[in-house]
Amino acid sequence: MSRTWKTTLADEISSELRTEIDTFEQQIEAKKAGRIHDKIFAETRLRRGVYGQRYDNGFRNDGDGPKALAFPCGDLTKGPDTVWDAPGMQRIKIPYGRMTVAQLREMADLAEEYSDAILHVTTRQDIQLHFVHIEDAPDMHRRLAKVGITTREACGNSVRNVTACQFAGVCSTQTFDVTPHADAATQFLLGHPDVQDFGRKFKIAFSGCHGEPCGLVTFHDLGAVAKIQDGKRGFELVVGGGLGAVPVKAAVLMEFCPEEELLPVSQAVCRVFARLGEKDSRARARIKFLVQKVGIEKFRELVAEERAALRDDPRWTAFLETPDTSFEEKPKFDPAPRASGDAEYEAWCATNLREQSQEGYFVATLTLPLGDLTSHQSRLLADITEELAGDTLRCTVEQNLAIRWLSGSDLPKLHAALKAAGLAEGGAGTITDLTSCPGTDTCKLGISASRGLTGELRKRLNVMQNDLDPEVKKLRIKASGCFNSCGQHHVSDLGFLGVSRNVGGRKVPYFNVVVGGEWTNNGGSYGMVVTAIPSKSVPEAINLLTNTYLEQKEQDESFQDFVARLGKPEIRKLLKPFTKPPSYEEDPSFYSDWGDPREYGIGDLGIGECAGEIVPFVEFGLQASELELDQAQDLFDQGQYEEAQKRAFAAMATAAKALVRHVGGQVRDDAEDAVTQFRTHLYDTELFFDRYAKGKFGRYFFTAFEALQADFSEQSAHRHLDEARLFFEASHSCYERLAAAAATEGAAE
Amino acid sequence: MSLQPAKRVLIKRFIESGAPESEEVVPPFHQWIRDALIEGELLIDVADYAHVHEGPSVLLVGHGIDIAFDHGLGRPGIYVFRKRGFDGDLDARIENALQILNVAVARFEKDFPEVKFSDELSLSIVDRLHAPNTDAGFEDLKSLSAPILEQQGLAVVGRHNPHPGAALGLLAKNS
Ligand code: SF4
Repeated sequence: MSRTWKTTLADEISSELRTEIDTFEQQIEAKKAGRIHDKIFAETRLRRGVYGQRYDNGFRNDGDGPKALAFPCGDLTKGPDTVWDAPGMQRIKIPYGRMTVAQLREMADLAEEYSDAILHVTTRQDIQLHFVHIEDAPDMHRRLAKVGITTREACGNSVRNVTACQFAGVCSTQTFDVTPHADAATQFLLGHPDVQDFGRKFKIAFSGCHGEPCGLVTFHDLGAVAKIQDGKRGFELVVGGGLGAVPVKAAVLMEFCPEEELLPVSQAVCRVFARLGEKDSRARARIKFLVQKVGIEKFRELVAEERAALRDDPRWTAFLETPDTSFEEKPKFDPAPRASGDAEYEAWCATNLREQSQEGYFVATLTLPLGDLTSHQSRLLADITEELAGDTLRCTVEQNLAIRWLSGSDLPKLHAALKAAGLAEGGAGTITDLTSCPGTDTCKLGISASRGLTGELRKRLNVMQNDLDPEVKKLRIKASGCFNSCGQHHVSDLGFLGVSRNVGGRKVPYFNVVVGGEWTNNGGSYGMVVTAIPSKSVPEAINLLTNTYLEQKEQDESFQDFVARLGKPEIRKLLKPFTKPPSYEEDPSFYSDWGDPREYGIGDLGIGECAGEIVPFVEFGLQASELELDQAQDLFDQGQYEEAQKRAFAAMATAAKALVRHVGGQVRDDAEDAVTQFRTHLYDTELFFDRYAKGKFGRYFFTAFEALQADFSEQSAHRHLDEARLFFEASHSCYERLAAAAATEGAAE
Repeated sequence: MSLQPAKRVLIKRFIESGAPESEEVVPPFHQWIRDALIEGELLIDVADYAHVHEGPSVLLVGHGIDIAFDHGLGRPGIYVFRKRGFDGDLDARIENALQILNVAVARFEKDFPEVKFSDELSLSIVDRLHAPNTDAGFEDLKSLSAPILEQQGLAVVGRHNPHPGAALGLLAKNS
């Protein structure tokens, strides 16, 4: 019998991890034998970071229309509508982004053997490997376990990777090093019984200070900012933040939480979330909805009560009493002032080097294009790090890597070695250092090619890099393939969010343009959606916006202040010429996405896992509807009553179409068909009917459609906006009733 | 230790001159999917990694094999990576990967007539469990692959990637 990783590594993996991975392997076999239900298996694999990818429903649009992909597995699935053999993604949690060179080397090998020889750094300091087969997952997990990595709870309704500043411990603006606390939170909550029953994922972030963006705590479910009060260490805790369709800034839970209370309070927050958070409707199950629903005052009370009722746990303070020294970093060489070098090196130092708080030591940021590096580069990087800095590196939330503890005298040598490895790209934290989620490249929910777009922008901006005005160079660009906002576009100067439009009977990839988000102050404020433009118009639109900024800015005015001064209507007016693509006959390139020659379509959209877990598509429709409602409100506030009323109707139509599809109906994109199909499938069948209001809210949709033919006024816009909100709520209730009925039927089976 | 249980084989033909820009390769690769270029193999999607330094710049992802327009170690070429599927010993897998590579190279030459492939290829066994990159492993690989390479008029000239962490691999040239 030939050797296996299971037997080869048996003695090198902790028994706990060994058992977990062996169990997962057994579950894979049980699923193949038809002994596990699809949904249960899906959640099981997701909790081990094993995701689905685009086309895993077994269909792909090859440019000539959707084609079935004839995987050899036949009917076998790894989740609802998810074909067994379809390539998937393995997410590898890297707690607070810190990894050892041994771990990097192992991931390089895994990427080469099981994936595509590419390691992808995510905006939450994870590493992802794409195009992997589920049956390779157990061996990957064993090999990761050998170097001390678990993929447990990398996805699913659990505590996701705990993130923290990549400069923690070496930063001159930090209040103190949050590494031990982030590590303690990671260890304490991993597999904790109190975090197993969430309705959705739960993300935690740590930051060493308020002013910098490295931790991005403001849009996390739970955020901790280091603080010292009366000489004592602790944290300001914030809760209920999130990006997604409607970004929400976290509210202050505790102005000061002493460090010994960090874990029990976190545990109490998790218990409140598990007990009271929404479970049925995933669209409303993040903790932000609970905080909004009960109000922050009440939420504080609930947490305090829960905290008071907790039984003592020695782990709460063990990490303070006996500090874990295993992750302490020691410099390899003596400190020295920064050595100078040639112009290229000096330019790289200007953007990619940062002095540590420890004099004579530096942190180098490696700008990774779109967060990617190859297996070969990873090995070279591990060698370079080991030779010049020590044992560890950190992933950053901008999809880069950081090497710490570099002596100033070694920097030219470092730069030369990085250059040889193709890792000496400059411009970290500037306009050429773009961030993107996977988008349509691999994500099942992607609507537009965020990576295609940022790849194109990167190319163009790199060419003109030396001619860029310093004020423009400073700006950040981030893109997300859909409203789940994994690319964190809300907190960038120029953000792009993938959407689509119908033009002349064809689909066109579009991006919503979001301007003026704040990256500093932990992602302190969110940008405003100004308009949507075709994907292919984005580079020109960026040129126009940045040129206008340079021409019209007042003295030291930042881009953020500039767009706030200009206001949405002005910026929209500026971008108006870009909002419509040329006709297909004039320029068909607008009807394909960046980096993809196929005629654009969203027929391959699947059931989302990228956003966290299996999410029924109807919920995305409802989320999109909610976003449109907000846009309608914005339009109304700006006095654009006709547009507001039309957008309010569009929001209703989006929700209606999602419901029609959910009940098995077919519906075209046009408004008339949406109304007809809604009437047939939801209204006439009374599925939409509320126990008390009966069909009243459904009729709002019909009257709103008729009103599109009448005159528009402030009054009519106001009324239809209100009615659209009620229709939206009724749609949600309808979906929940349908889901409950399906669950009852399922249980009865 | 026998290399025979090893499953993953990667063979690359190098381009001597006339290599296209990576972005030019994306549309033909999509066409290869539509044409079901490789008989019996499911080709799924195209991944664009042109932004990555010396990587698999354009990757045609399949179920059993991947094909890439690759710039690994700074040398453009086309590789075929047999990652799963295909029952048989390692020699049969190598032979099969070579056959597929020949089909891909022929089509690439048709799509890009200015391309000239060199007479050199690399063969790697990307399976660290059964084929660790050691001196003994290299000798085993040499003797296992020599008869197959000979049939193509090729002889082993040395190791492929000099990095000790790289997969076990060799370079072969027209003899
Ligand atoms: S869910 Fe949307 S935002 Fe997130 S990775 Fe997928 S396409 Fe990007």
